[in-house]
Order: sequence, then structure tokens, then C-alpha cells
Amino acid sequence: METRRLQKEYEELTKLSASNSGVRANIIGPNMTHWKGIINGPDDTVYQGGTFIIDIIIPSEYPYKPPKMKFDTKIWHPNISSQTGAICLDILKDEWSPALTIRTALLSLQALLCNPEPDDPQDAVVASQYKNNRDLFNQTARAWTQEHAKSPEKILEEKIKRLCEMGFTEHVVRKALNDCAMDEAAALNLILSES
Amino acid sequence: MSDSDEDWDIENEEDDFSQPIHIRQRSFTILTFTDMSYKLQSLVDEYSEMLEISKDESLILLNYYKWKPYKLQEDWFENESLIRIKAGILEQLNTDTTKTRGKKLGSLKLVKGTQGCCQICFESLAERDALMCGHVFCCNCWRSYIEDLIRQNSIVEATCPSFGCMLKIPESMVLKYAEEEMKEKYVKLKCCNFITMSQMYKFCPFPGCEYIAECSYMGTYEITCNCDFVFCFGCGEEAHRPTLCHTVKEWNTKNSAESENINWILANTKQCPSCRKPIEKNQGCNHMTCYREIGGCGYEFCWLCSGKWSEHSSTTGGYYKCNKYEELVAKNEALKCQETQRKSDKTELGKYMWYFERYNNHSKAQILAKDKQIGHIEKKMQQLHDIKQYPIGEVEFLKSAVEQVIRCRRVLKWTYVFGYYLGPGLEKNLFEHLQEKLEENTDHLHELVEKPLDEFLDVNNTDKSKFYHYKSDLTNYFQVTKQFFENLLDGIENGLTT
Repeated sequence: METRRLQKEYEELTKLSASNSGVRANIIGPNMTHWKGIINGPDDTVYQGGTFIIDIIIPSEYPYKPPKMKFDTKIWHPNISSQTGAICLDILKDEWSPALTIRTALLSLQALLCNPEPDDPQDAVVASQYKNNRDLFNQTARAWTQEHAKSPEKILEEKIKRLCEMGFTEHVVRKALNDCAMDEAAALNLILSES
Repeated sequence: MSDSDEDWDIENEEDDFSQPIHIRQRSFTILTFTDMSYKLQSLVDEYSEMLEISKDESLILLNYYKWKPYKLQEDWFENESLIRIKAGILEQLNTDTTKTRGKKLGSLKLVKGTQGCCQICFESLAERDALMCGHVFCCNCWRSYIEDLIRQNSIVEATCPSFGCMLKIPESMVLKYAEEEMKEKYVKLKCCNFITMSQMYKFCPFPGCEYIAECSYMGTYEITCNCDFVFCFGCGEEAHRPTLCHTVKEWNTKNSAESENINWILANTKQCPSCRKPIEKNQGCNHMTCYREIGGCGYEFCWLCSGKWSEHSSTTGGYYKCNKYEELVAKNEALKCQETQRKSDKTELGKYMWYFERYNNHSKAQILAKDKQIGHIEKKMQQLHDIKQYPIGEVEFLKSAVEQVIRCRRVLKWTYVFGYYLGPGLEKNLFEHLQEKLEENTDHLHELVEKPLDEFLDVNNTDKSKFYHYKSDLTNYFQVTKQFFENLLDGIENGLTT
């Protein structure tokens, strides 16, 4: 496998994600074969405001074989399984080219969120709702985005807010959460045991 | 070529039995892989010259046209540039496909910082190469890309690695980058693709055999490969004269649906009709003996109808009369009862089982003869030569006879499929008569070739007349059987009653 290429891809992705475009990725584990991609729901879509986590497995034949991608975050979209997160996108299958990258694949996923293709569906239920009852589709997709696609920052904020409401100061709460790997219940126990 | 006209596959030609057999019997040729390489190359050369294009282009076009050159020629002179684009030898500029792609990928652009780098490895483009589309990659990546495609068996249809570029990779590019071993594999893939696509050629279906048959007839047609396997050019199955390809397909489907039950019944229920000891049939002919030597009762019976073997002799007139459904029933009271039962059941199963049992019986006899008897007889021939100094030419008749038995068993097997689908009438009567004759002779010939030859190997016995008597007996039956064999096939294939 082209570890050097993956290293370069990762550097490039980190550099560019700082500036714009709303896609980024982290490497999980030591050998570069498991990534987590993060894409922001595109503006002016039902996915706006959502943060979607993509599980990425790099096959040993990469880049001659496409990376295996699926949504970790639950999403309501005609081309993505609402159950498993499996994605139906040609460039992740037959149309893959070694000149594409993890970043371009994530960008095309983002583009897929803008332009669903209900005629080539992964999830038949969602696709038929998209075609026959657009209002209900929009409503469901927005609800799912709000429910499941919260950004890590937002989740943290909510935890802090809840703990502060119990009467602890923000400083104490943040520290405790940090010490407990962001686990809310553990942080509460820690604060209680310390006070 | 109209846009919808993507499919130019020739409709599967029905077996044309309106033509007499001598017209349908066209010849075939057995070729090697090397022969095929030459044939492929000469086609490429021919079309390169005719269409005034490079050999690379000619190969891509022929592949695209699934090796149906007449269609290529026709379309080419109608709209050359369209064909060039469709086949992937000319870059497609600014078409609908690229537009939708662009839209789907949103504002997808290649990574800015990597401009001037190879888009596959992201290293600098010290040694670069590109097809006429101008998508530049470094030579190392070209090599890896091409070798990976060869490994994945997808080199023949492969395109430029640039995303969305439909330009096919020409052969010269493949040969430029593939290492020696990969080059060999590429040539093999190219040739296999040619053979599979072209309807004039078929691989011999025998496992491990690498010969290729060339034949211009596309229906049921028997090919004898250089490896001695006999197969049907039409369907690639084992040869199945006199039954047609589509009947064979129907029969095989039926078998796979019902075979588990039937096989179980057939495999487990044959017992000696006299002492009920379970009996396994381990030789080809129908004459069964429940051997005393191994604890049997000595009863001799017919494997098919379980009747006494003595009733099958020629003196009682019922010699080997085991091939006719109705006659068997009429002859045997016990079977008659069973038969009434079956008829009252009004199920198809009874009839099917009857035919299947006989089909299966010949099939097993064929396999036994092929797997065991041939080897056995070759050994005996050698012994006759070594011990008794018979010239090899003098004992060849033994092998010929076994080979004829195998052929007869194969044909007889398929006659039961033919018979199963043949409606009652004059034709069926005639067919069953021919079938019965062949079966009778085959069984006799089979019994003769299975005769232990040890008495002819006795060194102390210098009298060779017994052997020559056996030989003339066997040769005689061989000729007679062969005649019936041909009569049956000719009869069925030329129309039984016409």
C-alpha cells in the first residue's frame, strides 16, 4: 500500500480543512488503514448544521481500489442506507480512479448530500418518500440531522450546560470532562467525589 | 449506429432440424492457444489495414465490438468519429457525461498544492507519460496501474487512470510498462477475451484442457477434442446426441430439482430380489450375480427390472427387454401392480423416475467404463503382449471395443432424455425399437469386454485359438453395435418417420 501517498493525502487534507470546504479526516490507529472522515451538512440543504462522521477503510490495493466508506452518523438520504449507513455512489465502486483521493471522495459525498439521486437508490423507502412526498422527506431528514448529526463541539456544549445547571462552575465542569474523556456520568462522579 | 443499438449479439439460433443432417454436419478444428494468438493478430492486422488505423486502435475497436468485425465495419463507415469516441480511441470532449459528473462532484477540483505532481503518488513528475488525452502520470504509477489491472483481469477494457477519462489504454502502453511475467498474462487475457467473445470458438470444457474448438455451426454439434473429451459446441456440455441443447438444459434443470430424492432412492434401495442382500453395481452391464463367494445366494438377475436373468436369455425371447416402459409393465405382474399404482397417482414422478433410472444407469456404466475399464483393458493388452507375445496391433480391438461401449452408453443415456420428451406415436415406436436394439448390443458388448482375460494369459497354455475365437466374437459384436449406434443417431437426426 502507498503509505507515502496516504501520508501526503492526510497532510493536504489537514492543511485545506483549516481554510474551507467543510471536509476533514482523522486517522484511527497506527497503520493508516482506518480513517474517520467528517463532513459538514451543506448550507441550504436539509442537512445544514449537521456533522456527519464517515467510516473509511483503506484497502491494501489503494489507490487502485476505492476506499470503503460508510456513514457512522445516521442520515435520511435516498442514496444512503438509513439502517447501515452504506453508500451508493459510483465513484466508490466501478467509477473509482486512482487519481481520486479520500478528500475528493468526501467532497463527492458532500455533493451527494446536495444532489440526491433517487433513481439509483440505496434505501428504497427513503427514495420513494423523496420522490412522492418531498415535504415529509425534508421534515424527516431535518429531524434526523438534528437528532443524530450533532457536531462534537455541540455535544460538549450540551454536556457542560447540563452539568452547570446542577450548580457547578464551568471551569470545574470542563476540567472534569477533560479528565474523564468527555464521559458525562464519570465527570459528574468525579466532581461529586472531589467536592 | 443508433444509440439504442448497443446489443448486436446474434440471437441464439434454434437447432435447425429442417435441414438434413449432412448439411448440418460441418467440420470443426481443434486449435491451440498459440493458434488463437495468430488468428487474433491477423484479424487486428486485417482491420488495421482496412480501416487505415493503427494496430492499437484496431484491437480496441475489435474488443469493443466483441469480435464481431462485420458490425464494426458497417458502423465505422457510417460514423467514424462517433465510433472512435464510443470505443475509447478518441477523447470525448465536453459531452453530457462530463457535465453530470462535474455537477455530481460539486466544486471538485484537484488538490491545488499537488499541481505538477503525479496525481496518483503525489510525487514529482520526473519521468512522466500520458495517453493522447494528456493526463500525465509518472512512469512508476503507470506501471503499477497497468500491472494491477492485469492482476485483476480487467486490462482489456481499461481506461486512462484520470477520473472520468474514457480513453482506452492501448496495447503498446501495456507492453511498454508490464514486466515480462505480466506481459505473458496480458497476452493470455487478451486471447481468452477474444475466444470467449467470438462465437466461432469455444474452450474445451474438460477441466485442465487448453484446446480450443473452432466451428461455424452454433447449434447442437459434437466436438471431439484432442484430449479425447467429446462435448457439444452449442452449449459446452458433454456431448448429448441425439438430444438437443435446449432439451438437455430442461432435463438438467429438472434433475437438479428432483435429483436429491431420486438419487437417494436409487442409491439405497437395490437389493438382491432373492435374498434381499444390498447390492452395489460396480460393473457396467445389467447382468447381476449375487455372488456366493461373498455371502450371496447366487441369484442372477437383471439390474433394471430385477427379474430373473434366465428370463432375459435369447431362448425365451425376452433378451434384454428392459428398455420399453409399457412392455416391461405388461411382462411383469409385480411391476404391473406398481404401474397401476403409479398411474392412479397420476403423478409425473413415476414416468420421470422410470426414465431417470435408465438415464442414470447408463451414465454410471459410462463413467465406470471410462474410469476403470479403459485402464484395466490397457493393462491387459500390455500383459497379452508381454506374456503371450501378441503384437499390440492384434489386441487393439479390446480398447476400441471399450471406447465404443463408452460412446454407446453416452448416447443411450441421452436417448432416455429424448424419449422422456417424445410424445407417443409411430415415431416413438420406431425410436424405442432402435433404442432397444442398441441397448441389447451394447449390453452384450459390455459384458464381453468385461470378461476376465486371465485364461488367455496362462503361460502353459499354448493354444491361441480360444483367444482368436474371443477376438472374432468381440470384433463381430463391435461392428454390429457400431452399426446400430449409427442407425439410431441417423434415424433420430434425420427424422424418424420422414
